[in-house]
Amino acid sequence: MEIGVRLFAGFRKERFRESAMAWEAGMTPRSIAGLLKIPMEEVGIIFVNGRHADPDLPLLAGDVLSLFPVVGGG
Amino acid sequence: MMNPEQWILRESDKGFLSFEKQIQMEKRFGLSRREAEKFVLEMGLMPERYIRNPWDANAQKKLLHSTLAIVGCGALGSALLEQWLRLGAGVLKVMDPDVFAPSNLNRQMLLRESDLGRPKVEVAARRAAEVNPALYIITVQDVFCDGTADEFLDGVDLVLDALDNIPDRLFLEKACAARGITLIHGAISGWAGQVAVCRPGAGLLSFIYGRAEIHESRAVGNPVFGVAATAGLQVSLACRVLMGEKTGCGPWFLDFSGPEWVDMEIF
Repeated sequence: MEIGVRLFAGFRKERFRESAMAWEAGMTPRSIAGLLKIPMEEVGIIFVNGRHADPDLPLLAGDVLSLFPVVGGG
Repeated sequence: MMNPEQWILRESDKGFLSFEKQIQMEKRFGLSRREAEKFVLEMGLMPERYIRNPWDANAQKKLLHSTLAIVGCGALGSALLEQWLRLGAGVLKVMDPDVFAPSNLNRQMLLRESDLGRPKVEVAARRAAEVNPALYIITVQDVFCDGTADEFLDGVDLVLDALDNIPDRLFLEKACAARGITLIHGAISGWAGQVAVCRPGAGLLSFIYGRAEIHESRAVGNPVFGVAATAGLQVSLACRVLMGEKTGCGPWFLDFSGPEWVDMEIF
């Protein structure tokens, strides 16, 4: 099933900014992050279709997932 | 004998009192810089140094009567301080336990090479006196924690987050909420920045950083452009809150690699 994935800031490096590709059924934000080799402790806010979502939310065809890195320095 | 008000009326022009005249006034009436500015603002006039601020004397007066706490005096703290000195905020409280190190030079705008090894808050106090002696600065070389929060946040109207780690930020949010103070959050990491308006009780930072897996942002370095942009947004939000305007809460995510800016309004 096709899921849109949007990555931000450092996550884009050597990956992509935005992609719409086919994924197996039963994907979650956590499993997609895993397949993209993004450690979950580096993921801050997660959006699905522009709304905050749980990392274990089952994704549906046509969903757009956004992954934002944790920003905690200063 | 003329009083300061009469003198200001005679010497002001086009809604402001020139810097030169203000200095004369301070000498003539034995006033401090701060006292002189208060006289001018009370009369609905601007001291010349603030005439390019995009608001009137009434708003400027609000700023001069505000007490702000900057928690942390590293990259964000330096950039926040500099802005408040220019804008003319009244009382600034700044806390940081550290001394300046060479790796701070890339982004901590207070720091000159000759300040290496000096306490950050000591350099902050010097900068404040050099740039704007009308402001009152209180510096504390300590860690923001249970033992220091009470005294540091006493009498504070608004708090600015300039900390460098997540556990301290979670504590700061609780400390502000317990005292009914709004916190303007700012954080940076690599090519990203983040700002938010944390209203007491909203628990915004616990929400952002609350997932069990999150401990710290990855050490990817902090460029000065991210510092400047993030601190700038913090201060613009803080000004609007101080002036009683409505703002959203955010958080807003700043992606300097785009550049791109995303309103992640959660609540």
